[in-house]
Amino acid sequence: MKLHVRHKTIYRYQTPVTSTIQYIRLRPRNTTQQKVLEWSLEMPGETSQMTDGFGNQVTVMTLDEPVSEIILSAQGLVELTARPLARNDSPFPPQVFLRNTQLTQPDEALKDFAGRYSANKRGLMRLMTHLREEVTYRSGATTVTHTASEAFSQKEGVCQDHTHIFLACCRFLGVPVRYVSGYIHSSDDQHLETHAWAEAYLGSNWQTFDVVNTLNAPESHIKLAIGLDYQDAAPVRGVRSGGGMETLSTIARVSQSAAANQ
Amino acid sequence: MRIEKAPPTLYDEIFDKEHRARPHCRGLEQWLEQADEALLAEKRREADVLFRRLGVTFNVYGEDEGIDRLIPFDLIPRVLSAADWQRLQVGLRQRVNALNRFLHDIYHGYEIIRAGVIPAEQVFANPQYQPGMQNLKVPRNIYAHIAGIDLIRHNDGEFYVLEDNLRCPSGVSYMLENRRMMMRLFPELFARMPVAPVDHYPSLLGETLKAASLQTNPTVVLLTPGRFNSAYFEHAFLARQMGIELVEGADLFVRENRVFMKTTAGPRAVDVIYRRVDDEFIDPLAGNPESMLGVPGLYAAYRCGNVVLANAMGNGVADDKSIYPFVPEMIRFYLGEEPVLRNVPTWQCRLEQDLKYVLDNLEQLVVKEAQGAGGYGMLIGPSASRAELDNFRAALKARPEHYIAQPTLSLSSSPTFVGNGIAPRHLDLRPFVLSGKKVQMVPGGLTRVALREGSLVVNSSQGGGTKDTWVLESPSC
Repeated sequence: MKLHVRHKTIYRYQTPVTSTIQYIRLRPRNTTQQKVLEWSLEMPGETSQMTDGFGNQVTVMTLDEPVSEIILSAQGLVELTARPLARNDSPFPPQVFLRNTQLTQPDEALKDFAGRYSANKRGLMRLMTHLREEVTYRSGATTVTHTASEAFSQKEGVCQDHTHIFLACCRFLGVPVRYVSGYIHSSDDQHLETHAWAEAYLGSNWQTFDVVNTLNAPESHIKLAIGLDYQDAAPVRGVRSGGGMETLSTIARVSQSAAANQ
Repeated sequence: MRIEKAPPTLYDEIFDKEHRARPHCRGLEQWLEQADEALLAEKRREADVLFRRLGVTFNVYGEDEGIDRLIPFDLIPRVLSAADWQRLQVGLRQRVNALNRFLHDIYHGYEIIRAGVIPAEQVFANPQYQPGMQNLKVPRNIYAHIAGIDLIRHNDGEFYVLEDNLRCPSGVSYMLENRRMMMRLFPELFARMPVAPVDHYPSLLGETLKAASLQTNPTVVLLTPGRFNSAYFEHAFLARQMGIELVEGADLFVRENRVFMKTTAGPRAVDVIYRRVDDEFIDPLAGNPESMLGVPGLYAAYRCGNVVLANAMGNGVADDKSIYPFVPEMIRFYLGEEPVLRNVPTWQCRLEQDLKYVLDNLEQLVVKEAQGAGGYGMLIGPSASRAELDNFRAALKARPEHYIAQPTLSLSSSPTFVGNGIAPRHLDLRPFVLSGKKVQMVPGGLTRVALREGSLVVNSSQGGGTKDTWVLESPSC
């Protein structure tokens, strides 16, 4: 399947931003599961490229003139191969992903929950299903600074929280697991969303666990970046001077490429 | 003056078991015997005033009364023979070389793990392992440009490494100021005894930092977290001594993956940052997003090879207490040599049989957190109360992988001025090892002394003091 992506992020500021620097992870990598056929990423200011320790492509953007709006615009064509993930697609052993971060540190309640499942595929599938039942998806329920334990105790969150909770559980069970940020395409309404899911290392392979959609196969997922948690894989991290209040709007659209429909 | 001697079960740095001065310490013995208690007390008051005036103070975290406190300074130097130092120097050079090789290895091909010398999980699941350092090339493959190696001398007379400090080791300013103070208070002693100089440390450090970059005349700055940091005095002191800029995060900025310093003459490119800010805070876009101490974009500049950090990021994985037991193996693996300096035997509580031994012998052991620093989270078995022992027993059972245990070593002692005469107090030694084009160090290091009678805790945060450290150049004195 080929997916055509158009993703626009618009930041509007109350007062002009006088300078900003941002790490932007909006450039998908080629993997066994996805082939990037075309990709363009547009933004104001000066840009340079960096590959981080996880192998993510990072665009470093700096802007030094006053603006009241910043638009990040990504556009491209990605082919999904429906093949499994490569055994060894990260520059270091999976054990790196055993470690908790401040966002994934489990509290007692979360440990109790995780402890009910076994550290194999069947166990993690059940964990994922129950976790999805336990924690309601509600847009705006949390912010990017919410930890897995906090989201778990308030029983609602967004894809990032579901993923962090799943990460905390897997790591508690001794399963290496990583955070993935990317896009997902839901075929019913040609709708694309920015999304987050997990990949757990079982046996000797990385396997997808999309908690929000309780999916174990990456049917329509385009992967942008990986890391230990949201902080490592965030599509955008930046600091700015000035700007006051910020409002954010995102437009993401996907369509199956005409070529693919023929 | 009355000199209380150490019991024969201890190793004293100055006096042997028969209470005779060791051959290289006879000059010092004479001085001590002639010293007048009132005069020493007067000199000590003078030292306090001078240190206060110079601003040689440190901050104790968790203390309310004022942020600046003096580290108590003892007037009686700690003395090392030329032969002792010679051997230490060889051992330190070897150890720091192996640690640098290890750091390069685990961020590249990790041969030592594939060879089965160290279990993968010990390295990769360690919170100090920095994925962001993966495949990053650093000039000359040097990660620990400045290492502080903590040593103690046991009652067998041998030196043992207690801990490697490869992140931001501090204390060197005390080594330098203690020497200056001694020369000022007792100039006649230096005329009588061949004390090896240490005052060239800042120039060696400057040389090392320049060698950290492959640029011809690199611009070096010292990045400090600011005046509320416990080692701020040292940051300012070293920057001044080396003639480099002392900067805070806000003085630097990154454009096009290059680091610049704001100056009155406009932006100036920076090549090497001697940073005294922890990994996590160095770039809010890569580490802790709340950090106000770092420079946004610095990680990208580093990653692109446009700036050198000294020390490198991700060094914590090599000086962690859970990795410490493997250092002798590292030396054999990378250098094909036998370790010159000994490690303290260490039980790794994550191993079942080690844990059993530790629980059975808790009263005799020292238990430390695998990732602790500063002497806050440790148990000293022989001096612990029943309740403390019970607490640690429970903690060990709950999270064995968080702890290591070691035998209680009898740190060597040295005569110390205690107010009502001179008495033996326990001490350690932290030499500072600099790795640049070559590995260099000044003779001696920082001697820390546990001022309370019988205490084995030398940390300044726990009531320890310092002494001037003398390496006597010839044994003839």
